[in-house]
Amino acid sequence: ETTLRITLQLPIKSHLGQNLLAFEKEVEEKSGGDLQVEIYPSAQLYKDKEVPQAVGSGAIEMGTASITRFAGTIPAVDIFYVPFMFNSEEMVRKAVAHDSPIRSAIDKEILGTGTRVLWWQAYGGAIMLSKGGPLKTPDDVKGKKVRVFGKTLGEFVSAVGGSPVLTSGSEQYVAYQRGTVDAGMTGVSGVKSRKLWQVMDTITVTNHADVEFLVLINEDVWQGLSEEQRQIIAAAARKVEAELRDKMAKIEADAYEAAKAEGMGVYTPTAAEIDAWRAASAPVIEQYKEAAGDLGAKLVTEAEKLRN
Amino acid sequence: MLKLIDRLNDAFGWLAAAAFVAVGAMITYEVIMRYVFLAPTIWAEEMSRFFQIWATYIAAAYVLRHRQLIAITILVNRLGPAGRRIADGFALLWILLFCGVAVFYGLDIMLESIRLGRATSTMLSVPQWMTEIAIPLGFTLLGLQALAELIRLPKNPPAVGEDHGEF
Amino acid sequence: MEAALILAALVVLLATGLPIAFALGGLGLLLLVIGGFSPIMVAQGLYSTTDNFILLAVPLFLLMSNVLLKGGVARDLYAAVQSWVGHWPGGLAVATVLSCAIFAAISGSSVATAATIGTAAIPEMSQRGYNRSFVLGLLAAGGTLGILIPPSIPMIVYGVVTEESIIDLFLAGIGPGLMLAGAFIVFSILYARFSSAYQPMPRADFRERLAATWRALPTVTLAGIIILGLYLGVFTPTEAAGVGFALSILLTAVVLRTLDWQGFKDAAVDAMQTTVTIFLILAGAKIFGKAITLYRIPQDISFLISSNITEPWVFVLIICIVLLLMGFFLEALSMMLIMMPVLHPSLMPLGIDAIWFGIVFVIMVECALITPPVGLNLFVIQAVGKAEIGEVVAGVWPFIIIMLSSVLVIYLFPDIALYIPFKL
Ligand code: NA
Ligand code: NA
Repeated sequence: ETTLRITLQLPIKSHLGQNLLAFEKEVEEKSGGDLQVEIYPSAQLYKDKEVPQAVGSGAIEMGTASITRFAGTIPAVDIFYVPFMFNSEEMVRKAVAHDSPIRSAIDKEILGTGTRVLWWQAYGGAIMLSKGGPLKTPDDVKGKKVRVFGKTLGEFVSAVGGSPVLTSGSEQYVAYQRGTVDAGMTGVSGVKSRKLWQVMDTITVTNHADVEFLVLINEDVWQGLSEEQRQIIAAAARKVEAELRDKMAKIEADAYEAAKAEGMGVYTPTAAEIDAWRAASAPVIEQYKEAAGDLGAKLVTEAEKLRN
Repeated sequence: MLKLIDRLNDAFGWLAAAAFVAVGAMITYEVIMRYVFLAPTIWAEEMSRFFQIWATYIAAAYVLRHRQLIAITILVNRLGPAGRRIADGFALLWILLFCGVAVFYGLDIMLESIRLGRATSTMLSVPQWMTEIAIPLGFTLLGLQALAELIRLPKNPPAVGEDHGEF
Repeated sequence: MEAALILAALVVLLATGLPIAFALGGLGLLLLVIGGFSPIMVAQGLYSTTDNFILLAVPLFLLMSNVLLKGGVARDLYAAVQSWVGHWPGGLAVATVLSCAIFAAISGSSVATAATIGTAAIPEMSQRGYNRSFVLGLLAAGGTLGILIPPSIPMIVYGVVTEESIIDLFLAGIGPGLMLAGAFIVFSILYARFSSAYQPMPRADFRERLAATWRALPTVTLAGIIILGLYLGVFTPTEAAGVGFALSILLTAVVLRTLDWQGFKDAAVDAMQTTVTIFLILAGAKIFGKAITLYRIPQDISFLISSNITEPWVFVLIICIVLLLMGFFLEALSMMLIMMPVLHPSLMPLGIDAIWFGIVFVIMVECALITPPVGLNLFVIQAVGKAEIGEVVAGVWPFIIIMLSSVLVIYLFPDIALYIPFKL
């Protein structure tokens, strides 16, 4: 009997937690109990940013971390945070498909750090939050302090004339409530789970970045499993990945409905407005390519191919 | 030799105190930049965290040397000198063993970060070994101090502990 | 069974006088090894404990209150408050409680509050013939306001452990803190009414009041800036601490000219020492916490709680009794670090607000600080007042009763805590 422990930053009731539960059920069933999965949610063992090291060192068998947690070591992963690179569900699905050159290249780089990517967990697109009207164009962000959650997103805010303020998920609510920042960005499901409508009144559906989580397994642990066990795990991973990806559109739609029901305005920018955003954030692509080197340039080329 | 360890750890203690003062300066600067000049820095938050990691661990030995670690000494203080000496020796040995583990695995983590080129996923992208090295360094210093205190134990009178704390 | 064994091992280790940080960390390491888990978690736990921006508030608040302490603002503060209320029945006692409450708004620690105000108040009150045990008990208890009125180091730790908002915790402490201070004042006045031992103070004239208030004004302003700044969102708790530290230097070194270079150095080293001792305990507790989580002990206990307790009041009552008992022997940090990871998952299913619970927890920690045999405020006041521990203990029990009653009041009227952060 083999035990696989998984560390998760979010609570078990989050959709990522539920996705791991589905994996646990599938694996334990298919292996007849030979493989046991234990989930440690709510950062009981590790915070998000510690997960790559924790799994890589073998301290814990498995873990799930936001893809941007690898950005310090592998800057190219931030392709998903390059503004408007994958700003529709269709583009995202192409980029994260199993045979996608973008996904394969990233998985391969991460494998070099001693961790294997088992599957990608969809978390949805990033939207903008504001008070007193939507952020239609970059002009609406000029001179504002904006909550961001990553390096590339910070560069994006700087490029369009705002001041980025890195704020953790748990301090986000207070930062909006007390005006420590004027605007912010988050996944729309976060608006619902953190009741952000109590402190912000407008969502601008920019989908300027795509948030992905990676479920990781230590490579030595993986190689130590039998061929049959690996097949069971890989099959379960594929299954629950597809389930979550399909569910994501509905989760987001529900979150938008909930936000509207709570009195939030939801604004979808026009194609011309998106073009203005894209033009203003062009320098970020250059910064990204510079930081991410050859791999970054290759990923940008592949992403542009997907668009056409 | 023991004197040398004392002096070394006193110096690191002072360095740690200066680091915390520097953090105060950085944070104040950040607040001023954000409110007065609308230009938050990208380094103040991360640098202050790094100073905190460093300061805490390089000063652990200083705190042991000045016997300021919080302990519950109500029972031990009722023992005779021999009993207190045994309790003190046990505590120092226990700390020494803990230091051994912390140094070994701290180095392990640090060397792996160097090998993989790990860096923080923040605006600054700082190589991770630069802060991770604070753990093996700090616990080497602490281990040395514990050893020094152990060697002194038979000669010096056993300390009567106080229940310290700042709450 | 496993849980009982681990708890017993911890108690034995603590009883040998092993520093708490290493009792927790070492036992955690031992458990990891026995359970077949990787000891690399020790190094990871050490690193991640201090890799935390929010915790920076601890050294910064300590720096601020140490600078103010070395700058001698306590005497000015006490003199100012005394000039206004000193002539009331029990006036010096009232002044003591008020000074504790004001100093609490700039200090995050009970011990610092008790020691600071104690240095000024104990000699004054003793001279005026107040009963010695009453004086010592009043200061030991009044000092605990330091962790209920924000800023508060235990609240920072609570917020870090439970991932609750520290600003909300701070704001939630204001109401109960004022209520508790009010109860201490009422008790002091009643005590004075039924006691003839003390001599009343003459009433200060307006000029005396003005002069005394002028000197204390900068300190009170500093307290106001911090609380308002937090409330209005000008800065986060960590930033409030940084700005407070900078302002306290300005105040003592430039305005009052009471802080010299030596005083500043002493303040910095003292703050460093306290910070490091606290952080080492946090790191030890983190390692211990990881180990027991892998043994699934917190999970099992919260399952046990949720499957046996359905009434919130039963839960709160049981926890308060447990905390009172623990508090006889343990100090604040260990209580919080051992209990919260186990209790936090049970709060939501029972419908208990985690911020409200944090306030109740802090009041129970206050009790722990003044219950014998192990109570840090008892020791501090014993040292400051050059007294026997028995004298302090004799004076402290009415205040323990007042604190326990205040938990009941806050249970019945949760808005005392929750109004300011959530409804104002
Ligand atoms: Na306080
Ligand atoms: Na006690």
